[in-house]
Amino acid sequence: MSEAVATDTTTDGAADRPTRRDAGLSISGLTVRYYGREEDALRDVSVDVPPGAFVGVAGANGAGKSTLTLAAAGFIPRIVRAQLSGTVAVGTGDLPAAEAIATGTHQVGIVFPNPHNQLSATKATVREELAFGLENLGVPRIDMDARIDSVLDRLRIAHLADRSPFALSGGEQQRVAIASIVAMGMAVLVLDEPTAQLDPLSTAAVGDLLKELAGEGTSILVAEHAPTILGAAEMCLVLSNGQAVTTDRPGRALAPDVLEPIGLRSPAMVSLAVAADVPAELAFDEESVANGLRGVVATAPEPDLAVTQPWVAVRDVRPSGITVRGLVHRYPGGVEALRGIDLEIDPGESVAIIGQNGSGKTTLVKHLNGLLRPDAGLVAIDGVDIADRLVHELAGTVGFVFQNPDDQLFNRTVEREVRFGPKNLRLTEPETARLVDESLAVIGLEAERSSNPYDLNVSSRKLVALGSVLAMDPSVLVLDEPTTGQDGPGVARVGSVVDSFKAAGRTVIAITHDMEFAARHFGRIVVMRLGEVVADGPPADVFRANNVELLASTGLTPPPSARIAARLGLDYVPADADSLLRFLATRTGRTQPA
Amino acid sequence: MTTRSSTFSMSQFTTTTIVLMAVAIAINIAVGYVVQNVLKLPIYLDSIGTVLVGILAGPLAGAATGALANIIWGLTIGPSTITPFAITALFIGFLAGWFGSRGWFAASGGGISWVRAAIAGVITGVVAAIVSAPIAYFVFGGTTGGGTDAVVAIFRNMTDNIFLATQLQGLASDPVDKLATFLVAMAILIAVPVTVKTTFPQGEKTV
Amino acid sequence: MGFYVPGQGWLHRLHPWPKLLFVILGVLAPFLLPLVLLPVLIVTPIGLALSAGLGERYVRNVAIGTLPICASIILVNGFFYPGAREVVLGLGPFHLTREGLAFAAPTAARVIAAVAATIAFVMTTRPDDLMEALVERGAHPKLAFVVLSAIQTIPRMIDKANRILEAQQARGLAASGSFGARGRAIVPLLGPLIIGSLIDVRERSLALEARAFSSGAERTAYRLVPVRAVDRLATRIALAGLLALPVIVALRIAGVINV
Repeated sequence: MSEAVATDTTTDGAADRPTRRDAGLSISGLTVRYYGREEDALRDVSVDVPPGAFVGVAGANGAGKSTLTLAAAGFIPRIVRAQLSGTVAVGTGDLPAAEAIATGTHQVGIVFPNPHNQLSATKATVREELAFGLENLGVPRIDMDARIDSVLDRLRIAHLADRSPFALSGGEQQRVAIASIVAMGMAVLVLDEPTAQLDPLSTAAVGDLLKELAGEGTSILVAEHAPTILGAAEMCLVLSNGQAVTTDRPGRALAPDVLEPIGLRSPAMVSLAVAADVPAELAFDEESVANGLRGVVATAPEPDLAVTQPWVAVRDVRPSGITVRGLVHRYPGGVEALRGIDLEIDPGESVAIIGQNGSGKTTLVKHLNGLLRPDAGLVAIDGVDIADRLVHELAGTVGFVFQNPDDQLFNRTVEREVRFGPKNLRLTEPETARLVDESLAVIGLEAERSSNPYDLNVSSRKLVALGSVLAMDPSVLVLDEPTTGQDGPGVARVGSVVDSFKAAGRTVIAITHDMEFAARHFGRIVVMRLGEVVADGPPADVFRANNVELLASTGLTPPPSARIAARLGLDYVPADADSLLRFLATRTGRTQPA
Repeated sequence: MTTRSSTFSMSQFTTTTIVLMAVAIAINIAVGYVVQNVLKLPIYLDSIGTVLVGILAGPLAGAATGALANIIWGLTIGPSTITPFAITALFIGFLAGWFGSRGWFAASGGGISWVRAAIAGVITGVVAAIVSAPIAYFVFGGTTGGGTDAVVAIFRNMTDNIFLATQLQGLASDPVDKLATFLVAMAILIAVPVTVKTTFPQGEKTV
Repeated sequence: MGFYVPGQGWLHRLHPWPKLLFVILGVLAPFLLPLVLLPVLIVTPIGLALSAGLGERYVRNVAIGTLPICASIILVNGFFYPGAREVVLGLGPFHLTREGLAFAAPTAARVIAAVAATIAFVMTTRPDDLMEALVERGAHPKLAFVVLSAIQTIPRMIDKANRILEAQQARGLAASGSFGARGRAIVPLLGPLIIGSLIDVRERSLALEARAFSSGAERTAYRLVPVRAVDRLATRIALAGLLALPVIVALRIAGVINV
């Protein structure tokens, strides 16, 4: 047993940097089983994170990523009840991480997915929030300011120091959460899906931050879905059903031949890099990948031949068109959230609305089912002004799926939850039964019919919430960030729901940050910035090469494959990597057009 | 995992209990808002957070939550005149915890559990009324400042004794509200997954 | 959130500990001291508050905090005092009685005195400073955590309740209309609120553990409230007052003071 490692305030004048240069995280043969379960959450997993290393962990929801981060932080078995075997060691000694936390000298910090839940909710300013951990550790008062100031600088949140933590954006809150842990002088930082709730800009910022921290000697272990983060890591551990599939550079670990057998989709950049035969270290470098693709494209992936089953109407539903004219909406303070929006959506169109946080996307769609009323202008469905209609009356026409499923779920079983909507619409029992069956089938959760929704992971819960709205058989479907927090299979499932609804001729509108999702499933993209529409057209137009600057001004970038196509000087705007590869293959005449 | 002795021990104040208490106090206020301002129903349900802490964490945590909830509500949102009734809230939380420790809210109990929850609610309501009466009498001359003061006229006419009249006024409203509170708490606890319930000290008794 | 308004008056600058002692004194004294002192006990906190610059807002808060309850006290006791004989005013079948008013007036006055002291306290004391002062004097830090965290969580919880209302209405739930319809809306509206909060509790307590919440180390404090000489003096005066209360009560019971 090595001696406890105390945090020392004198090393290098930077009081919050790890003081043991040889501290690192070493996990060996880790097996975890939660009480009452019949299967291991993790089996025989090993990973090494020496100082300065940045290791990513990929895998579907339920593969064991969260369990791994909890075990790495020493939370199992002391705080989270589960059986653990194998070793989790911090530093060169074998002081187990669990003991380190118990003695208050722990060197492993952990950051969770939800920004709100990590605030102590007892402090009035960010500065004081950063002091919270120091107070609990008993750090002498005179040392606190130096450490806090240092962290405020390093993480570039000094301008937020006097703001209230709850007044910050999700991305800023996550930075504060990371900063709070860093201020405690952790040598090892473990993160569980830190960008799940964040938009692309904030996600990229987190990736840059983690690289910097690693560069300063912190060991970083981050479980994630976002290719931006995984791509920034040096090594990537891939988990499937609790077991390690491979540990390799992201360019290899996330390749299609590794991920597809375990039911995941390879990130666009990696698929392209593999096809371009680019070395794994350069898999996320757009220039190298583009150059590699200028040469010969060996094979084109087979197009997905699955035929979309159209949604079958149960109620007498006519697809609806939406008219928005001169729509103005003001926040209580007087600020205009929407400055006169004109939008015409035909019945059966599929529209993705994209834009940064604060662009007015959510404010706009909330007018479509009466949650918000115009301060000026008109919102009409099928030509009828809906200003006087109540929200619950419009629910049968406009099905609105909110971003957070936990704002909607309250029933004992998935089935009862899905029934709630049709019940409110007073549909007959046979109609309800058919809609429930169809919804469960289309969201892929028939097997979980009798499960408690809160027993399912958050991806599945989002699908349950989606299913409960589908079961109302609405003529317009509105989705608010349907892919946030979803893993690969979840995103694919949402995509197939959208396709199914489209195939039935219904109108689908979605707000999304996921450019690839937008390009793949929607025929029209509407780009918003500061309460106005700045671009409106098919993905091929909006994501075109010469539109990059316009998009950048709104804080967005086109999907990776579109960016590569732009570098190649193509006129074609691919929705995803496979489409681009197929296009290149047919262009060089290597395969027949699909 | 909880032994009989831990029902009344300080060990129920785990970190999870501490966070639950803070959240429950906020739930009380938000529920009061939903039921009174949004749904405009003639009940309060605003001790449901206290009740849940009692059931899930134990009688001591429930009692502490009740007292703190009243004081915080009175001193932040107001009116400050509700703070003396922190004593009542203390009893409500304690009783919820005591009934919870005896497994009266076990979801697996089926129909019996609903009956037990109802009985627990009525008993708690009666106790609340009994405890509130002297407070209302000594501090506020027999009124509470709430809507039921209008009802007081009837009871004042029925009896010569103010104290008794105050008692009857409370007994007219508290048991109904607490009955509703316990039943709603039961309905919601049934939908809470077992894995979540068992993170709390007394949670297993609600399975 | 709450009554607290930042300010620079002397009451704001007074340390939370003597202020707490004074508000306890200000709330107990009206109920324990002879009636004849009530006017003093009402004027004192109001006078102190106004002299500390609390202004119109203070008066408004006290008014809102006392008018409904005092109206109840006066009307209920005025019209329905058992055994009352001397009618002062007749309004149809209802009679305002002298005995009733004689009972109601001091009762209402006590409430006004206590509320005046309380509002002066909450308007000038930051909750985190108060909790820090209590922890310094032996209160458990976890108690301080519960209080401060609850206060900050209240607005979030109400936002959540509103979001749930929107989400459920979007699923066809009517939150208005018949009594039965509104009653049926209780579980769909409160369910997600409570269940979601219970699940958040687990995440939040894990996050606290990550911040060494239960490390057991001797806790230090970042935000300090200085103790000045005038704060010490005020504390002594308040303690003297609090000690005098039981003495005066005892003297009244013993019949030595007959007021």
